[in-house]
Amino acid sequence: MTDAKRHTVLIVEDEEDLREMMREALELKGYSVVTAEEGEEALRKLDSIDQLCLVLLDLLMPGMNGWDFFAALRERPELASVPVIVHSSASSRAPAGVTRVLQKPIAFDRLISVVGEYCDTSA
Amino acid sequence: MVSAAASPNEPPGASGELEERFRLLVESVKDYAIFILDPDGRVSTWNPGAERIKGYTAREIIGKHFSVFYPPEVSATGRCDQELLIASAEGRFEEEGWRVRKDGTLLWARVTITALRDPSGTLLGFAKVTQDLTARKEAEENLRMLAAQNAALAEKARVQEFQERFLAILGHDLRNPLAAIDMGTGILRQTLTDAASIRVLNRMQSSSSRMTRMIEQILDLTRSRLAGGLEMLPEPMDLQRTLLRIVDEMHTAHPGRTIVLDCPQIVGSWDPDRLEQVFSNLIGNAILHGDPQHPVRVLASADADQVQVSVHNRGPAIPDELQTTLFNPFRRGERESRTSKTAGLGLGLYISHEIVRGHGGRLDVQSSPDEGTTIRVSMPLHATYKP
Repeated sequence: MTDAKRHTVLIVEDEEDLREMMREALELKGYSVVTAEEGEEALRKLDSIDQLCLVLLDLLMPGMNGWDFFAALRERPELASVPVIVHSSASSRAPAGVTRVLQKPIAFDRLISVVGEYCDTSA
Repeated sequence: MVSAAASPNEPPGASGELEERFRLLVESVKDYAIFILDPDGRVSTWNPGAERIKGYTAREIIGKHFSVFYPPEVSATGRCDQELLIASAEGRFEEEGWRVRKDGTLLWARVTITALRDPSGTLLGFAKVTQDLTARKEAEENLRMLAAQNAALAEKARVQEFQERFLAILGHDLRNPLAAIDMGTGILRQTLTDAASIRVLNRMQSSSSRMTRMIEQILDLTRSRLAGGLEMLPEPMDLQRTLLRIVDEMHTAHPGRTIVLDCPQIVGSWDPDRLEQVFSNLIGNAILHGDPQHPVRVLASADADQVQVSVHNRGPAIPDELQTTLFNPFRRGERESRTSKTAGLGLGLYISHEIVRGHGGRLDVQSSPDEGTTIRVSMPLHATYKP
């Protein structure tokens, strides 16, 4: 076994264009990406993700918002150590305990460099 | 208790016994002032109700003109005599209005004045009945005030809701599409190689950056004007390090320009993000408007409790008429004179001014053709947040 980093990023973002653009950016760089447009959907998809390395989380979303999603995630012991990076226009109100906070809009280069700190490419 | 019998003008009754009964009836009424005026308007009888409502005893008031019951500014207009004229002509006069008690306090009264005539029609005087409705009037006023307060509160809540929605649109809804565009240009930059496509991409990216800056400025303007001011979060901060970083970034963005920084180590308490915004704006302006042949100079110094940072550039002076409005949002004349390189909203200096003010400091400008332009920030070394 190697201690290679995991390679799947979960993007939770309600704005479709931005969500899909982030997917394109990360897939272009060789990461696997799973997307959800709000917290409930993200929680449902979590079980099927094999190599989760990072959650990129928006806060202001219809349905389950980022704060509630983060609280629910932290209640699952097997996922408690997954890094969560808040990417939001309301970054100053990010919940305590998240790994990192990024103010929207984040540029391509910065996204790639931040994700690179937590994830390996699948290629 | 002095009774109606004290009056020489008392109207004659049908019989002595009936008159006595009537006198007892009037004497027993406590809730109404019932009294008689002579044809000239002087009080000639007085009952306990009148004493209770008006505050005068019969001894004090009988023989006095009834104008004493009116506020001075009303009686001065001759209104009392007009009321008697109307009562005399039409038989009766009725109104609700303010009257004065003996102690000077006002009461809201319903007043009826009835002309008293003998069978031949000769005017004998006037019967005046007054009811004190002050409590009802006050209750009505209170209700009216409550309704007005409620309406004001509802309006305030409506405005606040609008502001919050507006801020949410600016802060969130408008930024998301821009974030998508930024990300898209970044992706295309990875794959496109031909020069024309890259030029187009650069234009798209600079436009979207400008749009992002404008949204930030409008957001700051809205916060400062509508939403209780810009919030400052002071924390320990090394001014020298911040200025060095900004100057460094400016050098990268404007490789042909010289920026001279003279700043000893100054540590204080300020909002780092906000001060970075101020100095980026001031130095950026100096580069934009200054003479490219001369350096932009940034000078910082501090004493025991104040810090001063001045940003100086040579070049054409700021016109006098613009100097007085330099820190106003959306300055007149700015829109017409700006070029594509300055195209912003004309909010940068206004926001810088608000931020410095929020730190308890001030922003001053000096500009002349000989000396060039200096913008000076003076603020406490340890800022306390002042909305």
